[in-house]
Amino acid sequence: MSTAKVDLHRLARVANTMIVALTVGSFLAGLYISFWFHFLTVFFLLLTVINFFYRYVQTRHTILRNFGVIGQVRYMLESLGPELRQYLFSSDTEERPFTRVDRAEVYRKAKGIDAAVSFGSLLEYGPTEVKLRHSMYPSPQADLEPFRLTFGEERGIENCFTLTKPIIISAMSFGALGEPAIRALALGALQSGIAMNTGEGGWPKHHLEEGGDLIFQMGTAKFGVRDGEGMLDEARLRELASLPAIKMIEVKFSQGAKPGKGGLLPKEKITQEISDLRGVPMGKDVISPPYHAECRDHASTLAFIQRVQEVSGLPTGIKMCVGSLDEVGELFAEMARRDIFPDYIAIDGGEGGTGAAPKPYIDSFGMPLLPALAGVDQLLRDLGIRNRLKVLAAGKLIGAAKWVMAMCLGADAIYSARGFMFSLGCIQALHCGDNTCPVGIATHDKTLQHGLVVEEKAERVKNYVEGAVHDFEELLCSIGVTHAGALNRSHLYIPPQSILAGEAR
Amino acid sequence: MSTDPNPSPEPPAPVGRSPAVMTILWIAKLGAAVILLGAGSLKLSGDPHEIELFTTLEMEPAGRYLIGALECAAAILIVIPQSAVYGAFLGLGLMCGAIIGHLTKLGLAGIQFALLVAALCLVVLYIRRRDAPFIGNLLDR
Ligand SMILES: Cc1cc2nc3c(=O)[nH]c(=O)nc-3n(C[C@H](O)[C@H](O)[C@H](O)COP(=O)(O)O)c2cc1C
Repeated sequence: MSTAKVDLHRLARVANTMIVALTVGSFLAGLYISFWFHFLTVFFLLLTVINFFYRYVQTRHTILRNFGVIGQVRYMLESLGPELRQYLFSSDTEERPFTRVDRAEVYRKAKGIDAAVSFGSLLEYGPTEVKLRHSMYPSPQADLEPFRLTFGEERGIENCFTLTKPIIISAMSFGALGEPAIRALALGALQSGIAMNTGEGGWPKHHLEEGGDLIFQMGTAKFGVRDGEGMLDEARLRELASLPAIKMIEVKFSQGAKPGKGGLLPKEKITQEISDLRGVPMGKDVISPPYHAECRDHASTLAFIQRVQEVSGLPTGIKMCVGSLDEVGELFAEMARRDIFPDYIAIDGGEGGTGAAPKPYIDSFGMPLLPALAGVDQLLRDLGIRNRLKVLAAGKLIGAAKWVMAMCLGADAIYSARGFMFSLGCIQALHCGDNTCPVGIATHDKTLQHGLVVEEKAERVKNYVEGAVHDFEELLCSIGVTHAGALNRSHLYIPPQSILAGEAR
Repeated sequence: MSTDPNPSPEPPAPVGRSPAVMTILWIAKLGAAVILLGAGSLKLSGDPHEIELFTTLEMEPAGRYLIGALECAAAILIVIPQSAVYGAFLGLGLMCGAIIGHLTKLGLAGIQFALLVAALCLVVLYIRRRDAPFIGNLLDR
């Protein structure tokens, strides 16, 4: 071999011999030179024992069996890999699910730094990307109409709820997030005048503490409003809906990160308080059923939605990730036939986030947001019922440009979950499931929560909302419209080869 | 509900130990701690016998202070549940050194204490083996 090459197998063999040799060598040195050398003797002796254990006793790890202590270096490096890649080796547009470019924009907004970007786009700017179209004649800022979206107006109910900003904090349960994170979001939502979805974590005790507008989410396990059998407890729902902070109810059918499967809260994250609020035991993963027991077909689903609307007296929406547009189309047709409509439908893209979900579900289930959204919008239009309910969209919509794109394809307002986590200081460490979130957001570990100061982060949430809404208004002007309702597909450049260009299915 | 679809990295689970095992564990911990603390404080306080031993080893006085301090540290670590395995590791290492000393320079008188403490440390390590760094995660639960 003429080239220099690290032969790890050889290196390990040498190391394994050396450990024994060094033990003997230190012993001799301790004997003949100075007793101090016996510190080394003892060290190498223990190392020899551990090495022996690795190579001849344990059977779990092949690498340790074949290479001994040197093999540990591999595991150490591997465990540091994600951090090393994130800090040193990944380019700004490479990380998943959110690139550093995406995240940095939220961080800047949250900190109130309105920095322009220099020189050019870091993203692909080829003909294959969906882009926004500007007009040669932008609308004057003064002509912009304030954003208003009223839920429940179609049914003419008493307790309508009106949004004045296009963005809502998407469902994140107390359980997935810790108490300070929930409170910082709730306080930030209050200060910036937006609403917040409670997630499926049961009675929204900590959300209520801050006093902002809430959308109560009823997951398939109905935590907070379930009876002994896991069915809807109408009295509890009525009691909850009578709280002034609760503005809407959302029946969750599925979520982009785990469609076709219920919510999952790992046992590491179940504290006494969570077990009380949800009414579940500690020390066991909480797995919600994949469907509402009341809903087994389109008819029973609509009956259930109507029941929740009647019991709560509030605008009631549904949330789902689209699996098949045909199936959803049948549901819509049934709505039209029975004249029962939820007050909104929130479409979660398959790319949606979660605190914890099985890998095949995160990676491989559910339609991506944009085609699902466009398809739903089209189905509603085809049936002539687009004006009977609102459409919300969720799925990596961080930043005003993404909001506008979703609105061009049919969304009336935007849900964002992880965007708000970034505004709280999330660094995408991907530890939401094991209670070790280093920034104290997705954990119940008090020592990790120490770093998250509620008032400070609420301010960040508010800055983020204000910065992004400001961008949003500017984009509307550049596109040449005066209100969000005027956005449509013609405001998008959709490349001809895109699935969005044809019939969206 | 029966199978866990998402095996998350498990923290070192406190395996249910029977009361008998817990008693043995605590006897071993306290026994080792008392002897280590006694030996350590004798060294630190300059007991004439210890000075004599360390003079033989040609480690007076630095070695005596260092070893004495390490023995006291091991004694404290071994009684605290969270650090017991580290205390036992340290105690075992120190006792290996002591045994080497007795076998090669000091004569066999007094070696029984070192052997006893080493054995007690091994008992602690064995019972708490799943918490041991570098080893625990390789053992069957
Ligand atoms: C930590 C975390 C917890 C979540 N908890 C819920 C939940 O309880 N119920 C739900 O319907 N969706 C939940 N989601 C999904 C979000 O509400 C949202 O639909 C999805 O993440 C897509 O939005 P995003 O890309 O802006 O994050 C959660 C997401 C995250 C990141």
